[in-house]
Amino acid sequence: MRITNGSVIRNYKSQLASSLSNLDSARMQVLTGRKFSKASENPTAAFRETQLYRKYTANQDYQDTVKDMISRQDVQENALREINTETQEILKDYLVRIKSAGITAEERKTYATALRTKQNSMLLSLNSSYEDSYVLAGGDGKNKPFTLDPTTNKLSFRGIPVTTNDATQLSKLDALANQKTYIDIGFGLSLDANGQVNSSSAFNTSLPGIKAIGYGETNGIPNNIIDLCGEIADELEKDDIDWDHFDALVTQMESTYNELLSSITGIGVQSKFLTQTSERLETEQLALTEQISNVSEMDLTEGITNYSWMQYTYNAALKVGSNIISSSLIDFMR
Amino acid sequence: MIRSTFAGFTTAQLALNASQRALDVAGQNIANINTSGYTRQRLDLVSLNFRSSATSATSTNQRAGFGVEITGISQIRDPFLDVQYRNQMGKVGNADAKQSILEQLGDIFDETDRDAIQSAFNDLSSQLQKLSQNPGEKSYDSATRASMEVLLNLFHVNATELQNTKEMSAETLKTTDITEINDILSRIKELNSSIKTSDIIGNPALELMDERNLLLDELSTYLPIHVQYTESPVGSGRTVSVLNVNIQTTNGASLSLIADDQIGSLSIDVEAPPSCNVKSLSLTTAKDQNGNATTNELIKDKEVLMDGGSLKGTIEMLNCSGIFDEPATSVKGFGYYETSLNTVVTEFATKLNELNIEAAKQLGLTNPDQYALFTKIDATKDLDISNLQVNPEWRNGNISIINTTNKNPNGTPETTDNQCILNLINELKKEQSFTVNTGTQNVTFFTGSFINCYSDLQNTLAIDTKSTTTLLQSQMNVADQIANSRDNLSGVSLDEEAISLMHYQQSYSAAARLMTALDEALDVLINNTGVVGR
Repeated sequence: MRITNGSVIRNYKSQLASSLSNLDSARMQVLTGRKFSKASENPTAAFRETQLYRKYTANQDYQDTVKDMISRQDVQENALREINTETQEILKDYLVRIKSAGITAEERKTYATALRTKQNSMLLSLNSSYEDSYVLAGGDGKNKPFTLDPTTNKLSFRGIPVTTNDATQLSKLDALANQKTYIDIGFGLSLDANGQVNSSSAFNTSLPGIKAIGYGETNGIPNNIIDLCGEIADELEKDDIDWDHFDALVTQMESTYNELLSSITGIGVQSKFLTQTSERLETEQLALTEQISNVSEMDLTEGITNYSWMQYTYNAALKVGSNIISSSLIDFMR
Repeated sequence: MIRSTFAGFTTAQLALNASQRALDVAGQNIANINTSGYTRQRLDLVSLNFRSSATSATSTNQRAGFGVEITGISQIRDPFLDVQYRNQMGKVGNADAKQSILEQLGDIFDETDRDAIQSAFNDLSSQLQKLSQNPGEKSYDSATRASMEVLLNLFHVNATELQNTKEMSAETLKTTDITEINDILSRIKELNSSIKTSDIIGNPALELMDERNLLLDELSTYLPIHVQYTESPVGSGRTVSVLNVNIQTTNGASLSLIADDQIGSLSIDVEAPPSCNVKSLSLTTAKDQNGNATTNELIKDKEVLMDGGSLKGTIEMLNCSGIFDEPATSVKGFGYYETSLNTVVTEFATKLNELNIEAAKQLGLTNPDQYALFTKIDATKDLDISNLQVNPEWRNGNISIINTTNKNPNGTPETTDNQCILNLINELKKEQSFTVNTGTQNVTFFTGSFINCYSDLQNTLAIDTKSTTTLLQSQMNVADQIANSRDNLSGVSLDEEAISLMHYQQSYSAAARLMTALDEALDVLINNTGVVGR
């Protein structure tokens, strides 16, 4: 096959250019630490990397949310525990002493005052807040949920009296007690046909206070602890106590107290669930990091070896060039 | 047979002449070794002898020839390789034009090495998530709004860059490419008449032919040309070779672009921005023998009726939108990416607007339509990316994202419920259907979430770019091989020319020596014969 200077030079130029281009891409891989710098070099990997990054940032968001929720739940739990402590003191201490023999009307009145003080301190606990919103308010966290009417001394929750037997008010209280406020923490948030969140696809952060302390009335006796305290205090202040009514009030308070305990346990379970979710999210984060690394990162050893080899090939090509282009027969003619 | 006394001198003289001329040719080859398009030349020699029987021929055969005659200087060129090369360059031109546009698009959409729309979208999701934990907090609402503004800005940038690239390509096509083609045609016409004139005189005009071949090679990257040489009679039984160049269209027509000294011309009609579509590419053919020329349209249904050339590549990228055309075209040009991008963004704005307006309606707020999160900049124009902005009322604080439609027992909206924000989060994640009306049909080109649709656009571009680059690479490899074959045949080899130099130098010396020998022989005859007794 006949070889001409023109074809030799053209081929040399294009081979040298391709060798230089290989050297350059090997250098880029080492410098950036990535297998590819343009999507067109490896479209599948680039697409996968975008998806993985999206999952990664979502995972970070969920972790932040869960940490925040754990703190919020702590505040909710503390509020209820405070009420629990107060109620315990009332049931196990005050009421026992009141029922003991030899107690005078004056001493009873002292207890009545103490009970009213307890009412106010439990009210404060019910109105606990975390970062500008009230934790036991359900969906209206910017407004203080619980108020104690100064004249009637009755508890209201979001404007509705808690102790009521009015059917409309009761149904409203039911709705408010079962209200849910959801947060997306990575369970595949989805809405049902009516546009409501599917409860298994999100986390409910709402704990309306009346659910914990009771609402409505049974046989004329309030279900909720605050109003019960008030009525017991009223009873104690009477000169002529109706002990049957008093006992009925105490019984109701004990039953509501058990409900309160189960609410506290409920929060505990949820907190544990959040902790587990947090751990799961951390594991997922590690897995995602590894996947992203596999898809896009260049193994440094391989990268540097590659680069050295390309460098060597390029230098060899340069050396060859100086040999083939210069000589021909003319150099050797006399 | 009687030999003429001085006949040998002619032989020697012709030999000297031939050697001299051969050295000139070798010199010419060496001098032009780096000239692009140069084909090596060769001296054609033929041995001189009687062509008929002489009346004075003897019975014994002693006729020696009378020397060497130069019949001409010719080029060593294989026309078949030229045809192959030009066909291949047509393919390379097409792939190259497409690839350069796709690479520019890649610079706009490729986010592998920078933070752009994908990360802006991720940021928006984060802000919405924080907002859902703190509904009704103005600062989180403002942060979400800022995030949407960033995202919309980035979309604007993409759309603007896309439009700019399109306009630049159209401008280059109009002002540079077509002008160059017509310029090449007129230069070829000049060369044609010069070469033909030279040929008639008897001078083969090899250098002019080289120049013409170079121009034809350049033309072949723009258009898929078909070159033919025909013999045309010029009287007294002689013929000269004339050049004809045709373009074969994909619907079977063969249009004459160059016919001897007549040339055709190309003209193009590009619509003004923003559409920049190429409405027509018309070829006026060269005039035939009767002086008639026809004008032919080379664009049909947005596609070009040729099967190669960079004009095809550029025009189809400007005109075609793939499945969004009616009938669907096979090239995903600017239109495809513009339409996809526009659809994603307008769907995004529309759906989010609907959710907030619906929430406002359910809450019974006055003028619920003002609660749109995105509005048109110019209300009289259609909704598209360039006409979209985040609602200024949102920035002024007059509206915000409504957090819930649930109401308190006293009728006011709940302050920390996040039902509507969860709706927004869900909307961003759920599957949407992206449909475009192509005229008479509705084409659904993607089903998935907003950001997945955008990722799909990026992915389609990446795949297209990769496949076009690979194709271009392989076409260029083939073109290189053909160029090598051409060079191997027609190129100058210094070694060969050096040998020729030595060879002809020796033959020159030998011829000179022959001259000396004849001279001495005749000298003996003329000066030293018959001097007996002088």
